[in-house]
Amino acid sequence: MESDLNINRRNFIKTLACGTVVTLSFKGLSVNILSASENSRDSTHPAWAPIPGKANWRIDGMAKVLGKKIFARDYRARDIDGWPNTERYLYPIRADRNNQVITSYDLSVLPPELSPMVVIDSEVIARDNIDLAGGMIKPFFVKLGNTADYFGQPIAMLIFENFDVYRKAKIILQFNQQVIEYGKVVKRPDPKMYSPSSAYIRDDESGFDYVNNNDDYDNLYPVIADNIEKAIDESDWNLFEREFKSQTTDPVFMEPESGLAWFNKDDGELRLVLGTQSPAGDMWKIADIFGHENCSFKLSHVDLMACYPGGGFGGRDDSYFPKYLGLCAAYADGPLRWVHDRYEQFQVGLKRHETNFKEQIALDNDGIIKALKSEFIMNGGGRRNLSPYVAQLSAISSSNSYDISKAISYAKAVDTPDLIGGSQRGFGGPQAFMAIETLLDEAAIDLKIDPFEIRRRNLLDKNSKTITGAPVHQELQLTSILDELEKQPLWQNRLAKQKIFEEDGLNYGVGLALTNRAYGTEGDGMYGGVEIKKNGQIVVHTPYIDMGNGAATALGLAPAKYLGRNASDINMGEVAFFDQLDLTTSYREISNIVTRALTKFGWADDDENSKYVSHDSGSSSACLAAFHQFHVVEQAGLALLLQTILPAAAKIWQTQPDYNEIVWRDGKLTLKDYEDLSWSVIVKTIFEERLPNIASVHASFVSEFTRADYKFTDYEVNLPLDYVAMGNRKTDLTPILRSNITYPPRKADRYKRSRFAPCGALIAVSVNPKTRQVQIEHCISVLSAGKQLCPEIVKGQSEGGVAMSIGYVFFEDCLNTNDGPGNGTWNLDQYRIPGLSDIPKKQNLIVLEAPEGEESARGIAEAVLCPIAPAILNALSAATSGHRFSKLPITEDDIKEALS
Amino acid sequence: MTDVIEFKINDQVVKVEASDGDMTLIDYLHEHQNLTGTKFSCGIGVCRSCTVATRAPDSNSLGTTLSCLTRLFELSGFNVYTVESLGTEQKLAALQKAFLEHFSFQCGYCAPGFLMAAEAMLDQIRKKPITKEQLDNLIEGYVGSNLCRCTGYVSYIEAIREVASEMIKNK
Repeated sequence: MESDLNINRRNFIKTLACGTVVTLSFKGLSVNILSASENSRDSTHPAWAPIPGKANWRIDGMAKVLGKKIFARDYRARDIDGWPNTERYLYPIRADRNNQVITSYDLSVLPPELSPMVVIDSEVIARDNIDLAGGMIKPFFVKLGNTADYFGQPIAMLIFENFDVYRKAKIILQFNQQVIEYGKVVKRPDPKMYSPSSAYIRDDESGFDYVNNNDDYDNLYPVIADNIEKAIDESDWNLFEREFKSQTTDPVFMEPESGLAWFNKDDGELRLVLGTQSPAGDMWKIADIFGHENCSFKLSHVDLMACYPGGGFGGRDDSYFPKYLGLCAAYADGPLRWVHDRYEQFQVGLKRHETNFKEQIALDNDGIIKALKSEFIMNGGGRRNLSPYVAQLSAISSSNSYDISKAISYAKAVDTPDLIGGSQRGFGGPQAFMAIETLLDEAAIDLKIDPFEIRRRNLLDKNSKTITGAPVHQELQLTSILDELEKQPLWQNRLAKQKIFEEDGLNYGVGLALTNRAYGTEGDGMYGGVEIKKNGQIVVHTPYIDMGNGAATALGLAPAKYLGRNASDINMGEVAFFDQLDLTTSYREISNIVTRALTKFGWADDDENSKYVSHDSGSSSACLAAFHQFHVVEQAGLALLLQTILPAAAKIWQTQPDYNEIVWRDGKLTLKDYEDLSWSVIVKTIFEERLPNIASVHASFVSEFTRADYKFTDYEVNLPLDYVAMGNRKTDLTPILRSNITYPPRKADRYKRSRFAPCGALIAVSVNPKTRQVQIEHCISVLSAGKQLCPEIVKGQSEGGVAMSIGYVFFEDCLNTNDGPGNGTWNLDQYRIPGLSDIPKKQNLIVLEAPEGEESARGIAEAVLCPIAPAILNALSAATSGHRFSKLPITEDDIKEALS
Repeated sequence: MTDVIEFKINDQVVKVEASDGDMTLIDYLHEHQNLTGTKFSCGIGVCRSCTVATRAPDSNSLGTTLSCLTRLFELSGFNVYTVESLGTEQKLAALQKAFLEHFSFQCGYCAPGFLMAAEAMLDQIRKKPITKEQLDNLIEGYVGSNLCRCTGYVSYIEAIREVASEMIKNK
């Protein structure tokens, strides 16, 4: 998942359109807020992870298992220091159809005692000169006389005095067909394209690809694409092609979106409590709402308390919920609470896109893929959101694990009045992998080549390149994945097993899929901080959010490598801690040095650019934790080792140790021939000597990390970081002098993706021809995860990915019609997600040993989901005498047709 | 009809005006008792995130109740147990400890519902011992309909099975 945010965080001050300067600040929930007594239990090793680098349970687990306040929905105004105790309640009147003019709305169904205090609609916000939030193109409210831009677009938002009035009024308003008056039916508008669209063309014969043809790519690619198509038409290659369709699905994170907001008119401060994947972006965009010079509301500051989201899966990345809450808070006379119920969440929550896609692969008789052509069209619904970038990743993922010398891949997202698409777990990968893995399975059978062998003949390796032309930097372990899967009895015995099932009147099949899901985006910036407290506890600071993917736990383990112990606490969503570093992504051209490329040749920072970093941090996607975010926290630990721990040790030992020779052993710092130092002795010395106890670092990654030399007091080292600051007070950190900055090659900016976590799966299904019921019997996944940080969390992610994929293939379907969830009447009785009885009784996850020399983890949260759906489809084909399923979800009628 | 509804929450007596009797239990827990450990998700009794354990006036056994569907007037004389009643950080309930050690949940939003449903199951085993062979069916009966979106249920079941098996073994 990725964001198009490019926030210059300098001072974290935002200048509104009217010229007013607004400050922004964040506060994340720390584990210690959630679990206060953790502090007192053990001042050296935390109870959740007493062994360095190993978690006994999730760092946030204690709070969650005790039912403490941790989610945005748990909080009331009375829970927050400095807030008034009373709160108002918000309820929207939403369009429940998208094809009729809305002529009026009528609240007279409410008795006087249940009337709203305030009604906000298009006229009201026009009167008050309310602007759109950042990134929004279409209006907040449907203007009377118009049709809705999308299902669920608000017509008005109502503020009620208190919970009891809200509760009673909502009972009357929800599902009430008398509230909104509709007029004439209008013709569905022709879909328009959301910009940008994507086109990736690779032709090795002419040496053409996206990476290596920077200057004239857009002019040349149509010609090259024509040539590839001609080559396919004129060849005697074996063609396999199919049109596919996948449905709109809802992420169904278990906590419907909820939040609190208080716009204090006295000081112009807007305070928010939210569970969001994009806290920085949300605040930045909300501030824009009040940017008009004649806006009735004067905003001076925005403050966000970021809670642990009750699930995310991408659905809280650039959601519109925070924007509407921020807007409506201005109209309340105190704190305002808004809690979606599940009906509302289904109606307007961000969805996985309905996608129409077609793909063609051409193979020679030896099973070599000679050419690929694919096109993905995603229904973005009525707001742009991240849809063009989801489509883009489908195009990038279209060639999957294979080195294809002629490839064409187009992708776009379209603007329709339907459910809003956005970032969802897999981010375009599931559609791309479904196409190529099912076509390749078909090709294997047709060409009479073993499905493992046909894949082996086409695999990417370190000498090959991706569809964009990017080199493969990693050992992908694709061959190892196939080898491991192929030897499984589930595969070896599949035909014998099929006969056993047949005896019971059941069909049976085993399917294979291999996927190569990227993690990270085309360029990522990341912050990490580590603090040593006076009581010896270690606290991790991160702007990242844990949406259940285990990021908090993984990052809590990151200090262990260099500090010999895990964190006792982690502050997530803590953007302010890093904003005060004052870093910028704006490079100032100076003297004769006009490009950053020159810095590669080695020069110390000039004053003007000493705060320059090439990439800012974006939103929190699940696949960014293990590799990217872990890196910076671990490196912050290293900075503390070099500037703090070792100088403290040197003071005690009376010698300056070589940092390569020290070892943490049983919680003590050891150096041959010197006494072992306990943590408490080191910490005591740190504070006696006033050595820096806080390190805050930044890294930029575009296929590799930006590196620089850092001059610590006693050590000079080259680190994969582009900024390090240290000190004793969070608000006053001093940079460590950097020099000889080495950036990734400029070409890498066009790689699009450079890191991958391949995963393969075998799935066994049984099909009952009488009932048309399908049961997933067994699932084996093999994953290339690099160095595992917490195996239990990897296992949980994998099992969750299997369950989610089963829902994707068989049950989940948000109709984009007036009968779908956009009408506001859908809930979990109508939209089925997998339960215990739907998951395979047998599940195995095999995680490969990390390739030699690979010391980091790979982002696997999305990778583990990707092969499941195509493996199910291939298994179903095996169980139905070769029928190919190309439309999701697969219904009982589809099974009937396949068996007939 | 009396004008007060009286019942217990976590063994504490609470009294509610009958005019509020149509309020759901989950709303009452959240808005009037500040007990937010019980979670709202679907509001129609499908996902079971809102499950609490209850003891009926004429029963000594725990049952499960969906707090999003149950109105206060239905609770007269009942004792309602929420996740806040289970254990403390210093002394976790066996299920809480097992959930932690098995990494049973991820986002954790559905965890209280699983905990309270499984707690009711343990109460049944205490009152009416079962064999090891009957255990999986019993687990499925109590938590098989609880929904979770993050996990694949496997680690929840492993944790519950571990605690219940220990109980069966010690009977």
